[in-house]
Amino acid sequence: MPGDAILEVKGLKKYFPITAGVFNRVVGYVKAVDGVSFSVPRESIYAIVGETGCGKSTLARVIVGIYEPTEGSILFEGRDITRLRGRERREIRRHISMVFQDPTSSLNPRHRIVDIVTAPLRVLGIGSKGERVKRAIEMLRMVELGEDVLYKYPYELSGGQRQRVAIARALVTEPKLVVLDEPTSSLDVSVQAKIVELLLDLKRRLSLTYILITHNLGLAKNIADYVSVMYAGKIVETAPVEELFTRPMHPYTRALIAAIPPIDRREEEIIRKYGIRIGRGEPPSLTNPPPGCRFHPRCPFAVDECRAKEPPAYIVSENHYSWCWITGKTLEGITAR
Amino acid sequence: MPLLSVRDLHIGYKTFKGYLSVVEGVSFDLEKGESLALVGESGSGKTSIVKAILRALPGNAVVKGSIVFEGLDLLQASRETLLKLKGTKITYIPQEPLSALNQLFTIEEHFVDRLILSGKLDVGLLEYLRMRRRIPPSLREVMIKALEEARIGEPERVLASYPFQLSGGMIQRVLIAMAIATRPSLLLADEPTTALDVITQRDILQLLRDLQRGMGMSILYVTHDLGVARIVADRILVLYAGQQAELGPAEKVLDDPLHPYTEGLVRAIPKLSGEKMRPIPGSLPDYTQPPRGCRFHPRCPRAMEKCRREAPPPVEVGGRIVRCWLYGGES
Repeated sequence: MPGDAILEVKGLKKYFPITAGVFNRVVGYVKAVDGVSFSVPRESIYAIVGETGCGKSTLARVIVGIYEPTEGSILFEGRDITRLRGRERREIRRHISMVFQDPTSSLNPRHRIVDIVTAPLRVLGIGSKGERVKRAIEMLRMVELGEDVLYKYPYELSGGQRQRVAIARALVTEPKLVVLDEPTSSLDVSVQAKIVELLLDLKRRLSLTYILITHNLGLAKNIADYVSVMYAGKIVETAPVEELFTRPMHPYTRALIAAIPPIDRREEEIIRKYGIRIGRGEPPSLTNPPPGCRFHPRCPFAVDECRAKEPPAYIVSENHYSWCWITGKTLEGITAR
Repeated sequence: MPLLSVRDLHIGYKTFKGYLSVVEGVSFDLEKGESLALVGESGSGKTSIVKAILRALPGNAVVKGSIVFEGLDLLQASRETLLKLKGTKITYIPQEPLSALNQLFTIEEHFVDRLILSGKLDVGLLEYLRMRRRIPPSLREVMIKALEEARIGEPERVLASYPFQLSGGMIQRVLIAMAIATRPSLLLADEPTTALDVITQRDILQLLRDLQRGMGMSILYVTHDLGVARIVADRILVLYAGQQAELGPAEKVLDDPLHPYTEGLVRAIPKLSGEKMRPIPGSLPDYTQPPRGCRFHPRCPRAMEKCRREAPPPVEVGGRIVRCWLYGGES
């Protein structure tokens, strides 16, 4: 990746144990994230797209520190933060925050907006009470909400306003990196665009870096600089946004494009040009994923190699990788890493 | 004569906050074998319209206007008449496939109940047990045929399964099979794919489209997703805050919207063409005190004096019905 990376993720794995019996014996693992590596350039928007259950939200939660990774490391500004504890951890974590998908469940209904927005500062022990309230007002103004919402409860606000509160809370500690987990998908269409405008404006003003977790390829195309496509716990393709949508290489990426319901004629043409319809089928079990490429049972192009061995990363062009044997064959095999 | 004809439908709710006027003067026809999508954001009244057709609105609802299905006004019909129609000639696919079925019963048990109980009123436990004992063997064939029509590969295995053993997409197929088993003439679908993955969604939409065409069934499809409406519907009815904005052929409405709200909605959605998303200013109105005239006027970039005073009448423009003063119409 070009420039300096604000965040580097190396071989990240997150397995959730499945237990059974009285002694909670571990009988297997759900491999939600299974060996993911990428690096996020400073002040860029890095999108991670995929369907429900592909592990993208788990990945987001591991990055912000809600879950401990099973394996692998996370480097923030070159420093390994994976296993920091105590004060050091808090110090670093204030620079990485998150906006959740549904503001109705991410905001405590029994807390007033002022308490919600100042909570991160309280936890980190920053400022006096008066200073924190002043900071909250400042933050709310930044997300275009008036002082009047300060002592209201979340239910008194509309969905769009609640998401603004969630954004204010995420920015109150002056983070450098914000993970946005489907920031608009629970909102109405006419409100979504406004939240996106706000996020872009804040990014510019505060020099933020975003990791955007979404299932919406259209949104990724509109605002992201880089896109990684995830399938069954792994990244299958990574590319600069323009590349991904004009030269998609991985069959899964093309299947995702083909499945988008087009809004207008122009979008329909693009989908017809780059998409490939695949037959019916469902993503594999994450407990017992298929050998080789995880997409092979659904892939219309699968050959013997796909069933036997995990594909390496093939370099399609600068910064564009596809983890696919077929990509390798069409490109005459230029392997990376 | 159209299969379903809705005329000047008004729906409101009496609440502690006052009277909420949720649907105001909606009229449309659904032809036999046609698929129509009701499109709008949350609170646009689309689900209320479907519930009014099913006469499933809560007790505090006030409904005015007429809903005529095969010559019968559903709003005036007796409970018995309605029961005969619901579940047989008019069927419904719910939004959340997983909560629509009881996890403790197999698909077969659900399906059998669905078939033997539809159209019957106040069945007691003893009578129900008697009915269950006398299930005709032909019923199984009906079920298997319906499951096959919903493109379920192993109908026998699915019938014996419990809901939690099946994926979301498979359950949605099962619910579709249940809805088509009685050969309905009208299928109501309320956002049946929102809980599904994009690739599965695309399959289900295609399936509904094929069934509609193959069986000559009419579908009334409720969705907030314009792209989904484009795939599944012949015509689209765009609703804003309970008022009808635009009604016309799906592709025409989306490629070349006439009503400023439709135009705003199409522009607000992020698209693969990379066209910049532009939000619609303002927010949805308060239903206790909706704006006078056209309810969209406070957010409309092209609002005129007239829009604030009077709701626009329907005007026909190139095969479409638009309710907007920009396209004329007499006060």
